[in-house]
Amino acid sequence: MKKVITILIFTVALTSIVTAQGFLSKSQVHGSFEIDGMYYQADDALGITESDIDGNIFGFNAFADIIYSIGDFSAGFRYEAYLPPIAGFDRSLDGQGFPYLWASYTTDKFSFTVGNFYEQFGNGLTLRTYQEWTLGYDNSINGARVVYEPVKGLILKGVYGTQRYFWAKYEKNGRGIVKGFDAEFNLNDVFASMAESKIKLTIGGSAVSKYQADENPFYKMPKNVASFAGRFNLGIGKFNFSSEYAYKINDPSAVNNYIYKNGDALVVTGSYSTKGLGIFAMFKRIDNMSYKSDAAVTSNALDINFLPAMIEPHTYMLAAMYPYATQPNGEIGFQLEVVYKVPKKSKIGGKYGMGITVNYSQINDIAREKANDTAYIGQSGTMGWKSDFFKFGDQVFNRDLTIEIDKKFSKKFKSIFKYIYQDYDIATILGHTGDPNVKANIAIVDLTWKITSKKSIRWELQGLWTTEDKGDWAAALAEYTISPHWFFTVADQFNYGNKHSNERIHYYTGSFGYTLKTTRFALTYGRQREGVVCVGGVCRQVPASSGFYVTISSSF
Amino acid sequence: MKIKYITIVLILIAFVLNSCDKVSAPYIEARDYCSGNKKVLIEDYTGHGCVNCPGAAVLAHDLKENFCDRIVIIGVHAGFFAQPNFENKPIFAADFTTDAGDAWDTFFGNSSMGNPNGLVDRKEGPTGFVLYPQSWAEVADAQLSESAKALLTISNDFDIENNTLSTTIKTEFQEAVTGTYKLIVCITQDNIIAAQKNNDPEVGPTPIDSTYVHNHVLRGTINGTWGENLSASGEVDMTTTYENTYTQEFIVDWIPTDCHVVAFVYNEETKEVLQVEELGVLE
Repeated sequence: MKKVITILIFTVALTSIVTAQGFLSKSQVHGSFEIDGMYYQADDALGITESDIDGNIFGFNAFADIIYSIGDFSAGFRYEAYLPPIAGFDRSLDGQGFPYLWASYTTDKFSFTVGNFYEQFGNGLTLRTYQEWTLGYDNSINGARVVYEPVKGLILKGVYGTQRYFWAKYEKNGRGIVKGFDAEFNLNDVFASMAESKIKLTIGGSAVSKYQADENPFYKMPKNVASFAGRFNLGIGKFNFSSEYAYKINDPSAVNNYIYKNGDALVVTGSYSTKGLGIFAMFKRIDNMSYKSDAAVTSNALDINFLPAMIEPHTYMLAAMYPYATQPNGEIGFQLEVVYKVPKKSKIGGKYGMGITVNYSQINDIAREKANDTAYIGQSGTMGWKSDFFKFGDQVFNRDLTIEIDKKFSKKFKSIFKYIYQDYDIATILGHTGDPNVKANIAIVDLTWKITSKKSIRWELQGLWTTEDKGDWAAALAEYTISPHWFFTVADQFNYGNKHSNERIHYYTGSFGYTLKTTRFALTYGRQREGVVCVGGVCRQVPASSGFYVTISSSF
Repeated sequence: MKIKYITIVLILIAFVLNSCDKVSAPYIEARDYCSGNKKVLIEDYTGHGCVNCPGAAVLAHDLKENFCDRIVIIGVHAGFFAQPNFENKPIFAADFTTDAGDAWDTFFGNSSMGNPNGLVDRKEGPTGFVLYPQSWAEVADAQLSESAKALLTISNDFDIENNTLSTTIKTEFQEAVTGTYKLIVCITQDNIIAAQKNNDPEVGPTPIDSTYVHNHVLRGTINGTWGENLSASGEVDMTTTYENTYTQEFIVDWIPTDCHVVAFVYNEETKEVLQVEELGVLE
């Protein structure tokens, strides 16, 4: 008997091991992590004293994303720590924990997710949840999402939940509950007769609503605020057109100063693309379209929708000095971009050809009139304003002309030349009330010399000339790269044209980094100038600082 | 399959019909806030270089009116925007910062979150103590709906000859509470005319209002940055009336007719204010 029991136990154990091995062999784990640390030091030139730092010499932001999957099932979590957050990140992030936990089951036609998730309907005019580490921004929904594709080309989505608000737990009658539906039809997939058509057409529509209890002592607040949107994307050969229009009912909030007018937004894009030439045009109008799941919140949090940016995203040091932040209470503008590749072996193109990009964008305030004779424009507790749909307001928020030429002179030497003109409403965008628009001319030269197949040096020379704000700037950068592991960079931004001599400061940095497969380490020492960091029109202000900055990131 | 699609469409229609609340005018509600004995402290963290701060000051003043004078305001000038000679401009030479204001600002983290913002009864919310002005009304409303756990009575005696104030704060607890309780007594001043950055034309001239009237300006605390224990141990009981008397010599800039004594009792651990009271120095 003992023998039988021993054999049985052995058999069960062996079966379990084999099953577990099979189970494990089908499992996959992926992940990524990043650690950003800042060590602050006093800096007389920047006006940062030891008492300002007051012992808070470290800032620390970190995350780890882990995803486990087996067959149709996947699950994951993200750990985050801000102990305390690096200067410029929202202080409400202070803390650590697991703000993102989810599980998902996905088949060919069906996907079901519970926990936290990110989602976007169309361009995001009614709903977009996303995470942007560089901004410290995360508006994920915690709830449930269903995606259903009953036939190929027809996708239905439904979401329900509450949004992340830093580390605050959801409480009844606290922030709102978000629910939404989206349907998208790809006509070329749905109708067999259109499968081979040169005309590619997709149409879609979404409806989103938030529920929030009326806790406001003064204003009658709508508990349910809905927004709707319709969209299409039409491709005809080399042409592509797309548009989305969104409409939102009365949504008095702290952002719009508790006005009761409806909101709407329109985005129209058109593009043409052929060998060597690309043309892109965009028109956008936004009127009272801030849509948050808590009407009292004004900070970068709890946005249900996303209002896409419409300017050239600049990355060079001085070009990024005046970034545009989308104005949810109203803006109207357009953008036009032409990309032309001068052919190889032509007179101008030379042996390697030459790229030319011209981009122009302009964003104005919408034209506003009093909603009635007794209230001023934007007065709380009123309809706010009236506005002609296609009329541009007089106030220019942002104008940007960028001309870029990229030219390769030889196998070892290539260059980028850039000229930018910016007209920037610093009063509206950065709150420098009374200051005139900054009109800046910016020139950039970016040269790369490939010394050997693995070693290269890159130089940047930049100048920004303006009579407004802090005056003229010059910047230079040199970067030595030993592929695929090492880089060494020194850079300086000098505000030589500041009208106050004590503010003619050098913002110098020195950094090096090492990359091994998917792991990257970088250390920077120097000064960070006061400024604004924007991603997709969403911005955060960064104070001046001085010290060491370290980043370690990896993925697997 | 058709039934499935019809079901989905019906769900969508139901969703749309149930997701809109159209509000009709008038949009402002009138409520009665004159009954109740709880008063609420709003600390408005501000600075003369802060363009949005005059708007916040107006909001605080409106709340005081709308809440039937049950709001006590302290204007705390602290942080970057409150620095004298802001932006190297002599017009901003005035220094309204105080040791207590600086210490509170550092502790609660106000100016590091960007002015204007404030504290309402120093009550900690889901994202911390600091509240942007748009949230003041809701939090104050909730606080005012509670009954006062303590009542304060201020008696002032101002010696004009010696320019010295003697103030007595009487504290009577209305219900049993646990923990350590402290009393802070401050001087605030109205009608100080000095330059202020401003971006709201409805409030005053922009971008700089050179004759801006600063009200409720914190001039300092009489009994230390964090006050003093109400009793020797800090613990309190309902049967005892706590009386604390302080004297304070006024400096030249402190105009007695424009000054008030603001006293508030708070829990040392949570920092939440139980009750606040205000009385003119000459009243």
